[in-house]
Amino acid sequence: MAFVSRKKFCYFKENAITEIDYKEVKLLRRFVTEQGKIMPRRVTGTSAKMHRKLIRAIKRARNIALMPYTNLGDN
Amino acid sequence: MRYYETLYILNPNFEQAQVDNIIKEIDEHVSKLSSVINHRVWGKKRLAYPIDQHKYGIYIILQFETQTTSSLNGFDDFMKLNNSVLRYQTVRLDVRPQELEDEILDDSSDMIEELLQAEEIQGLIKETAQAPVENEKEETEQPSETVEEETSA
Repeated sequence: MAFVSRKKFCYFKENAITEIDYKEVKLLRRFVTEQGKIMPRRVTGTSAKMHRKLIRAIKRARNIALMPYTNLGDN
Repeated sequence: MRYYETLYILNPNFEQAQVDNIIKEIDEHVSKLSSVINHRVWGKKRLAYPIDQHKYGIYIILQFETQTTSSLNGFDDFMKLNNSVLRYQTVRLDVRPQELEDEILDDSSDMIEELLQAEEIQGLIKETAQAPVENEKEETEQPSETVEEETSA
Protein backbone atom coordinates (compact mmCIF):
# COMPACT_ATOMS: atom_id res chain seq x y z
CA MET A 1 0.00 0.00 0.00
CA ALA A 2 1.63 3.17 -1.16
CA PHE A 3 1.61 5.89 1.42
CA VAL A 4 0.98 9.21 -0.28
CA SER A 5 2.21 12.18 1.69
CA ARG A 6 0.01 15.21 1.44
CA LYS A 7 0.78 18.82 2.20
CA LYS A 8 -1.25 20.07 5.13
CA PHE A 9 -2.80 23.49 4.93
CA CYS A 10 -4.82 25.72 7.17
CA TYR A 11 -8.38 25.74 5.89
CA PHE A 12 -9.03 29.23 7.25
CA LYS A 13 -5.92 30.77 5.77
CA GLU A 14 -6.64 29.25 2.37
CA ASN A 15 -10.12 30.72 2.38
CA ALA A 16 -9.12 33.99 4.04
CA ILE A 17 -11.41 33.49 7.01
CA THR A 18 -10.32 35.50 10.03
CA GLU A 19 -13.26 35.12 12.39
CA ILE A 20 -15.23 31.99 13.17
CA ASP A 21 -18.87 32.28 14.12
CA TYR A 22 -20.18 29.67 16.51
CA LYS A 23 -23.48 29.60 14.64
CA GLU A 24 -21.92 28.14 11.49
CA VAL A 25 -22.33 24.58 12.59
CA LYS A 26 -21.74 23.13 9.14
CA LEU A 27 -18.29 24.65 9.12
CA LEU A 28 -17.47 23.60 12.66
CA ARG A 29 -18.62 20.04 12.14
CA ARG A 30 -15.75 19.58 9.74
CA PHE A 31 -13.26 19.97 12.56
CA VAL A 32 -14.87 17.51 14.89
CA THR A 33 -14.70 13.72 14.92
CA GLU A 34 -17.76 11.53 14.59
CA GLN A 35 -17.81 11.25 18.34
CA GLY A 36 -17.94 15.02 18.62
CA LYS A 37 -14.37 15.51 19.78
CA ILE A 38 -12.36 18.44 18.51
CA MET A 39 -9.75 17.19 16.07
CA PRO A 40 -6.12 17.94 16.87
CA ARG A 41 -4.16 20.47 14.91
CA ARG A 42 -1.79 17.82 13.66
CA VAL A 43 -4.69 16.20 11.85
CA THR A 44 -6.49 19.24 10.48
CA GLY A 45 -3.45 21.38 9.75
CA THR A 46 -5.16 24.46 11.14
CA SER A 47 -2.86 27.29 12.15
CA ALA A 48 -2.40 27.83 15.86
CA LYS A 49 -4.16 31.16 15.83
CA MET A 50 -7.21 29.89 14.02
CA HIS A 51 -7.30 26.72 16.06
CA ARG A 52 -7.75 28.74 19.22
CA LYS A 53 -10.64 30.59 17.64
CA LEU A 54 -12.05 27.35 16.34
CA ILE A 55 -12.00 25.80 19.78
CA ARG A 56 -13.82 28.74 21.26
CA ALA A 57 -16.47 28.60 18.56
CA ILE A 58 -17.02 24.86 18.99
CA LYS A 59 -17.37 25.18 22.74
CA ARG A 60 -19.88 27.97 22.36
CA ALA A 61 -21.86 25.93 19.89
CA ARG A 62 -21.88 23.03 22.33
CA ASN A 63 -23.13 25.18 25.16
CA ILE A 64 -26.16 26.32 23.20
CA ALA A 65 -26.93 22.80 21.92
CA LEU A 66 -26.00 23.44 18.31
CA MET A 67 -23.32 20.76 18.56
CA PRO A 68 -23.06 17.69 20.75
CA TYR A 69 -20.59 17.35 23.59
CA THR A 70 -20.45 13.69 22.75
CA ASN A 71 -22.10 11.33 20.30
CA LEU A 72 -21.74 8.16 22.30
CA GLY A 73 -24.55 5.90 23.37
CA ASP A 74 -27.47 8.31 23.17
CA ASN A 75 -29.96 8.97 20.36
CA MET B 1 -20.18 51.18 22.99
CA ARG B 2 -20.09 47.43 23.12
CA TYR B 3 -22.03 44.97 21.06
CA TYR B 4 -23.47 41.75 22.30
CA GLU B 5 -25.30 38.83 20.88
CA THR B 6 -27.58 36.57 22.83
CA LEU B 7 -28.81 33.33 21.39
CA TYR B 8 -31.57 31.76 23.43
CA ILE B 9 -33.75 28.71 23.14
CA LEU B 10 -37.47 28.71 23.87
CA ASN B 11 -39.72 25.82 24.70
CA PRO B 12 -40.68 24.18 21.37
CA ASN B 13 -44.28 23.60 22.44
CA PHE B 14 -45.10 27.29 22.48
CA GLU B 15 -47.63 28.73 20.08
CA GLN B 16 -46.62 31.57 17.83
CA ALA B 17 -48.50 34.05 20.02
CA GLN B 18 -46.65 32.90 23.12
CA VAL B 19 -43.32 33.20 21.37
CA ASP B 20 -44.16 36.71 20.24
CA ASN B 21 -45.10 37.62 23.78
CA ILE B 22 -41.81 36.43 25.21
CA ILE B 23 -39.81 38.16 22.51
CA LYS B 24 -41.66 41.35 23.25
CA GLU B 25 -41.07 40.95 26.96
CA ILE B 26 -37.36 40.42 26.50
CA ASP B 27 -37.19 43.23 24.00
CA GLU B 28 -38.69 45.65 26.48
CA HIS B 29 -36.32 44.55 29.19
CA VAL B 30 -33.25 45.00 27.02
CA SER B 31 -34.44 48.34 25.69
CA LYS B 32 -34.42 49.85 29.18
CA LEU B 33 -30.65 50.13 29.41
CA SER B 34 -29.45 49.38 25.92
CA SER B 35 -30.65 49.52 22.35
CA VAL B 36 -31.69 46.50 20.35
CA ILE B 37 -30.14 46.10 16.89
CA ASN B 38 -31.60 42.80 15.77
CA HIS B 39 -34.09 40.51 17.38
CA ARG B 40 -35.49 37.69 15.34
CA VAL B 41 -36.40 34.05 15.24
CA TRP B 42 -33.74 31.77 13.82
CA GLY B 43 -36.09 28.84 13.60
CA LYS B 44 -37.10 25.65 15.28
CA LYS B 45 -34.13 23.35 15.39
CA ARG B 46 -33.26 19.97 16.70
CA LEU B 47 -31.06 20.23 19.77
CA ALA B 48 -27.73 18.42 19.70
CA TYR B 49 -28.64 16.97 23.09
CA PRO B 50 -31.89 17.09 25.05
CA ILE B 51 -32.40 19.99 27.43
CA ASP B 52 -35.08 19.42 30.09
CA GLN B 53 -36.21 16.46 27.99
CA HIS B 54 -36.93 18.65 24.99
CA LYS B 55 -35.54 17.42 21.69
CA TYR B 56 -36.31 20.58 19.76
CA GLY B 57 -36.05 24.24 20.54
CA ILE B 58 -36.96 27.59 19.07
CA TYR B 59 -33.76 29.55 18.54
CA ILE B 60 -33.94 33.31 18.79
CA ILE B 61 -31.10 35.73 18.15
CA LEU B 62 -30.87 39.05 19.92
CA GLN B 63 -28.19 41.57 19.09
CA PHE B 64 -27.86 44.75 21.08
CA GLU B 65 -25.46 47.48 22.04
CA THR B 66 -24.93 48.96 25.45
CA GLN B 67 -22.68 51.39 27.25
CA THR B 68 -23.28 50.32 30.80
CA THR B 69 -21.87 46.85 31.13
CA SER B 70 -23.55 46.54 34.51
CA SER B 71 -26.86 46.22 32.68
CA LEU B 72 -25.67 42.83 31.48
CA ASN B 73 -25.86 41.43 34.97
CA GLY B 74 -29.48 42.45 35.19
CA PHE B 75 -30.15 40.89 31.83
CA ASP B 76 -28.42 37.72 32.89
CA ASP B 77 -30.61 37.39 35.98
CA PHE B 78 -33.69 38.17 33.95
CA MET B 79 -32.94 35.40 31.47
CA LYS B 80 -32.04 32.95 34.20
CA LEU B 81 -35.34 33.48 35.97
CA ASN B 82 -37.36 33.30 32.77
CA ASN B 83 -38.81 29.80 32.80
CA SER B 84 -39.69 29.69 29.14
CA VAL B 85 -36.03 30.13 28.15
CA LEU B 86 -34.40 26.72 28.06
CA ARG B 87 -30.92 28.07 27.57
CA TYR B 88 -29.23 31.31 26.60
CA GLN B 89 -25.74 32.46 25.81
CA THR B 90 -24.45 36.00 25.53
CA VAL B 91 -21.36 36.65 23.47
CA ARG B 92 -19.51 39.87 22.89
CA LEU B 93 -19.13 40.97 19.27
CA ASP B 94 -16.11 42.83 17.97
CA VAL B 95 -17.92 44.78 15.31
CA ARG B 96 -21.38 46.24 15.10
CA PRO B 97 -23.71 43.67 13.56
CA GLN B 98 -25.59 44.64 10.45
CA GLU B 99 -29.26 45.32 10.81
CA LEU B 100 -31.10 42.64 8.95
CA GLU B 101 -34.63 42.30 7.66
CA ASP B 102 -36.75 39.60 9.22
CA GLU B 103 -35.84 35.96 9.09
CA ILE B 104 -33.54 35.70 6.13
CA LEU B 105 -30.64 34.07 7.98
CA ASP B 106 -29.50 30.50 7.85
CA ASP B 107 -28.54 30.43 4.18
CA SER B 108 -25.14 32.01 4.66
CA SER B 109 -23.88 28.65 5.82
CA ASP B 110 -25.12 26.86 2.72
CA MET B 111 -22.53 28.50 0.53
CA ILE B 112 -19.82 27.48 2.90
CA GLU B 113 -21.09 23.94 2.88
CA GLU B 114 -20.77 23.68 -0.86
CA LEU B 115 -17.23 24.85 -0.56
CA LEU B 116 -16.65 22.33 2.14
CA GLN B 117 -18.06 19.41 0.26
CA ALA B 118 -15.73 19.98 -2.63
CA GLU B 119 -12.71 20.23 -0.40
CA GLU B 120 -13.71 17.56 1.99
CA ILE B 121 -13.32 14.97 -0.71
CA GLN B 122 -9.74 16.02 -1.29
CA GLY B 123 -8.96 16.91 2.28
CA LEU B 124 -9.80 15.28 5.52
CA ILE B 125 -11.75 12.37 4.13
CA LYS B 126 -8.66 11.19 2.35
CA GLU B 127 -6.68 11.41 5.49
CA THR B 128 -9.10 9.20 7.34
CA ALA B 129 -9.24 6.94 4.30
CA GLN B 130 -5.63 6.13 4.92
CA ALA B 131 -6.59 4.58 8.21
CA PRO B 132 -6.80 0.78 7.97
CA VAL B 133 -10.51 0.49 8.78
CA GLU B 134 -11.59 2.67 5.90
CA ASN B 135 -9.23 0.95 3.53
CA GLU B 136 -10.77 -2.40 4.17
CA LYS B 137 -14.19 -1.07 3.29
CA GLU B 138 -13.03 0.46 0.08
CA GLU B 139 -11.05 -2.50 -1.01
CA THR B 140 -13.94 -4.85 -0.55
CA GLU B 141 -16.14 -2.67 -2.69
CA GLN B 142 -13.91 -1.84 -5.61
CA PRO B 143 -10.38 -2.98 -4.96
CA SER B 144 -8.59 -2.04 -8.16
CA GLU B 145 -10.17 1.35 -8.82
CA THR B 146 -9.81 2.92 -5.42
CA VAL B 147 -6.18 2.03 -5.11
CA GLU B 148 -5.42 3.57 -8.43
CA GLU B 149 -7.23 6.74 -7.53
CA GLU B 150 -5.41 7.16 -4.30
CA THR B 151 -1.98 6.67 -5.69
CA SER B 152 -2.55 8.88 -8.70
CA ALA B 153 -3.98 11.68 -6.57
